Amino acid sequence: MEDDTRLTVSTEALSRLRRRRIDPFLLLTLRNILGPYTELTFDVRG
Amino acid sequence: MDRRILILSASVGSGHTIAARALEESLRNRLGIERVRTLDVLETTPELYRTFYDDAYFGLVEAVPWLVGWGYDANNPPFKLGGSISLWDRINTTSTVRSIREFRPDIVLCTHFLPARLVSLMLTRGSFSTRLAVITTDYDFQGLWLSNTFNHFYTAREETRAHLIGLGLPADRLTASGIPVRAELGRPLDDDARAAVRARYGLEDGVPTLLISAGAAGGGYALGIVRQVRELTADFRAVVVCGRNAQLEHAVRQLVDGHDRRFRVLGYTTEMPELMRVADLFVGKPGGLSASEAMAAGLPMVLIKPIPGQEERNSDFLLEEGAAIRCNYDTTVGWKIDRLLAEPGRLAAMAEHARRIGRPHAAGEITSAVLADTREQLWISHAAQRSILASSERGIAPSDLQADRRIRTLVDTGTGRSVGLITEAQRRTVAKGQRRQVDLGRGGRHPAHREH
Repeated sequence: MEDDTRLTVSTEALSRLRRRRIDPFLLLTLRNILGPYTELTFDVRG
Repeated sequence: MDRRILILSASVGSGHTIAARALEESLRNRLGIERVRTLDVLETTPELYRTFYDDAYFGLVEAVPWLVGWGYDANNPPFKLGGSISLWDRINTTSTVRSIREFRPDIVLCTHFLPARLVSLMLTRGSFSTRLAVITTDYDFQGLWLSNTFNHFYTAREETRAHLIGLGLPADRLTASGIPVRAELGRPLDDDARAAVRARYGLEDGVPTLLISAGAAGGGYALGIVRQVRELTADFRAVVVCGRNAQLEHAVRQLVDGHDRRFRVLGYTTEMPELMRVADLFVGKPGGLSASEAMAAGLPMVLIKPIPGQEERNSDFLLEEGAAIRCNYDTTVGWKIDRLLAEPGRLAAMAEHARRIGRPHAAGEITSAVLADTREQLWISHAAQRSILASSERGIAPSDLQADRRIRTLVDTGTGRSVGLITEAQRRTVAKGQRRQVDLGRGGRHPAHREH
């Protein structure tokens, strides 16, 4: 069962998503959120 | 490390600039600050653009106020025009961008939506780094103020904050601070200072003082107010402030010739804080700043001819809180003021309500919070912006949107603070991309782990 309350974002995953041509604005948002980090894990609320 | 702070406003009317000055004043003598600069962004733009922004706006207010109201409502939902700025704005703000870059601010405070959106764009492009605080200058929120990234958003009142939370914005990024005004407005004058101000303007104890803001009302309408006040049956003293409008000052002086005992006509004055604290009633338009200053001074208002849109909404708030009366007919301004002055108990109650909702320390509270805030920005994805827009236009909570469009808040597991808004569909996309990585045996890191 997928845990939808946690999300890990990494630069590697973003590169893969970019190759799959997902919404570039989402990639931009996530890259900005990552900032200098290569990987971050977030609680997901709402 | 000492910080460089840039305060950005736009001189569309005087309110945004006054709020910026109040913020600047509240930063004076604070530790840990290298430099503070306040910049009116319109001063750095071409004349045509400046004219469009300022003169054309007030021209429309005068000629077709209904169109201004329509424009306000049409742009009211957040992200209606996207989260950034238009090509027209970009072309005309190249010097502004240069000025901002050259200052190298650690913190930017914006008291107008144009610079807020501009700085947001600079941050999104990733070629510029700063902390962005957005400070609204009307009691209601208008969608144009919201951009795709900011550090903190300051609203004028709790209901506006609740509205933004209702649209899916994270509560930890929103503070109902009040509109920045000069803090001295909240400090009552002592007896000697009060007596000195009263003597200076020929005001008498026991006779109600009206402070008429004619400059903001402008031209023929201001003269109409003075004509109405001239016919009051109650005894009064009136200070008519015409601002830098010399033509209006001359016309008002001609109008009240022979009534000198009751009227005092001024041009531009630096003594508004003193006058507001000795007056009993403010007569004028409910601009966000004028109203906030009056409330901070505990001064009830008689609202005249609010501009459709933001001033109408400011008016709603002041009336709802019992701190103002509103004149919808040009012909009854005097009649309404007469009735109010005949009920001193009612006037005192309105002053009490004004003091209750006044926020004289807003500027200091905002700058203290901004200086203490070391968080990274909040980023809002385009899809999340569209969900916020849909929520606003349809008047429903984001949780009631179609499942894929629901807004999900990303919260830093280390600090417990919000850092991003995406949609549920976007969360699934990212989770899927990350899962493939884990499947390939490269994942499995500790959830709270940060890697550079």
